[in-house]
Amino acid sequence: MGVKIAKNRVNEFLKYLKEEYILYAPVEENGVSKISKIEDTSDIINLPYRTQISLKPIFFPPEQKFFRFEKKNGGVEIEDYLPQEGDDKSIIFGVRGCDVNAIEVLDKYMLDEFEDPYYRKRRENAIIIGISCDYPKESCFCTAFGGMVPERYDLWFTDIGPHFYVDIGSKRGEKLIDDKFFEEASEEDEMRKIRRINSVETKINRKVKTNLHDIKKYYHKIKNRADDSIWEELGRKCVSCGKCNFICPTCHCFDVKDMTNIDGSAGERIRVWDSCHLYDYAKTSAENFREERKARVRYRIYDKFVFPVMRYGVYACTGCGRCSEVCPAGIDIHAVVRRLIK
Amino acid sequence: MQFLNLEAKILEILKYLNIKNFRLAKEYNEMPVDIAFVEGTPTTREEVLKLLTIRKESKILVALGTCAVTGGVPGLVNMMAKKEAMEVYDGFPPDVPIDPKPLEYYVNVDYNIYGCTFSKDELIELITSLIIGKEYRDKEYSVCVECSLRENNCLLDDGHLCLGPITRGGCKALCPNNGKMCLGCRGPYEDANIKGHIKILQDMGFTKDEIIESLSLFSYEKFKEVISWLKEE
Repeated sequence: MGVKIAKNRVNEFLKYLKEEYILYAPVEENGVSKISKIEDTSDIINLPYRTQISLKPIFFPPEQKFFRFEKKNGGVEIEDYLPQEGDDKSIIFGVRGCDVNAIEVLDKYMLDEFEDPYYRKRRENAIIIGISCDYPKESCFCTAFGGMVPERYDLWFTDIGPHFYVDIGSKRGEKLIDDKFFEEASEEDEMRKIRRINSVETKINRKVKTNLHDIKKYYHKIKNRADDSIWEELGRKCVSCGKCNFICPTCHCFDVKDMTNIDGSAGERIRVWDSCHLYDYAKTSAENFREERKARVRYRIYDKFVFPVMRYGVYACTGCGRCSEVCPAGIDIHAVVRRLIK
Repeated sequence: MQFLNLEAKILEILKYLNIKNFRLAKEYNEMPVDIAFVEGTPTTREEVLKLLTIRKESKILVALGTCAVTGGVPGLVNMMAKKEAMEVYDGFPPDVPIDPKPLEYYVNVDYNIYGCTFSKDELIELITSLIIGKEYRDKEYSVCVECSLRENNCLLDDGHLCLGPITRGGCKALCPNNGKMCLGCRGPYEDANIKGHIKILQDMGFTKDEIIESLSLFSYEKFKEVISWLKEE
């Protein structure tokens, strides 16, 4: 049986968490909604759906300094910035299902085959408190992948009127349940929760009408369309701005640069996000193997629906619809996929 | 002039480079030199000859700033009839003018430093590369890349005629960061999908004239072909 929390006690609960944890929650900065570190819980905004910026920058920032180097006494001295990354425990509140699923995908890239210690340090100590959406955004299509409640979370909130129904998904989550704020939920509350989630998912589904659950089948279908004329058409539209890559919660490509002083005797190594839509992304000493724009557009779609399936058995798209939302040329990933599986 | 604005950095640069010739800052000037930075673009015959001499007397020639790289604002004059342009000086131009062109039209250019005004950071980057013998590469991506890395609100979404998607990056999206649309001062980059962006702007409701005016402000010489295509569309 789950528990529930009265809506007017949530703020107190967050304040209580903030005493021990670093708290992240949805805020609005310069007109852009994102999930940021909270100084004052009154800054938290209540959105009925996901934020514009995903969780990705919290664990994998756009620009990250690795270390500083300096030539000294005939050798090179290196100061690693990894120890400076705090071990502090953090709680991320108000995350939506698409973002939780996305971070699980990102974990596969960053922690599975190749381990990124900078990412691990931030990710390991993060507790996730998610929340069901009240209604979808124009571009949302999470139901195509299985709905808005993810498989794994620590706590999961669902609006059931005067209360939030709270599902407990892990030991870490369970420890946060304090009698001061939470009360036992009844069977009726649980039914309300189920009805609530169903009604929102039905709303999304009515609009989406796509079902990609059968991964094997659809991955083959999409893979077989590599020579389709659709790529030519999208290649003409796309302006290679890279916005879809940067906004995507699972895109993880980066470039590593050394920024030195004028004579190269000291400097810093930094990692900066990169985008597969850019001309020089696939440029090598021999050739540029994705010189044509249509090949780059195809690559991104394939790197969401084909290659990750081959490597990890999952899609790297969770239906958040952010790329469709930001694309200046109006390329809608959901519409593209729908055409591909027809 | 931006050179002098490097302030503290200039002293460090002087440890590695000598300034042999700098008309705005020095009384005695000599040639030849290893690296010549040329700002602006020739608009008279004499200036073209001077440019050719500089090319001959320098190992590396750097086009510095938009006018040198794309023909810049002076290039706007190529849009109008010569007679019309002469009127500006009451029919008496100071010298027999020629069409302003990018420096690369006359001579081989080794490096370009883009922007109006050009970015001091990129100038330092080039000088650093030259000193330590590292390859300096042009940015082959648009202003949008650096703008979205800063999580800015998209100015196209707000209905501005922003040239970010086709303009070469490297400025760290200075204008969009401050809520101003990109005017395209750095000119288009090689891979820019100019026709694709024109389609976006037309779908947003901008007229051909508005788009042409915006494209020609800094880089008429570079957009010439696309502009004549757009006029006939």
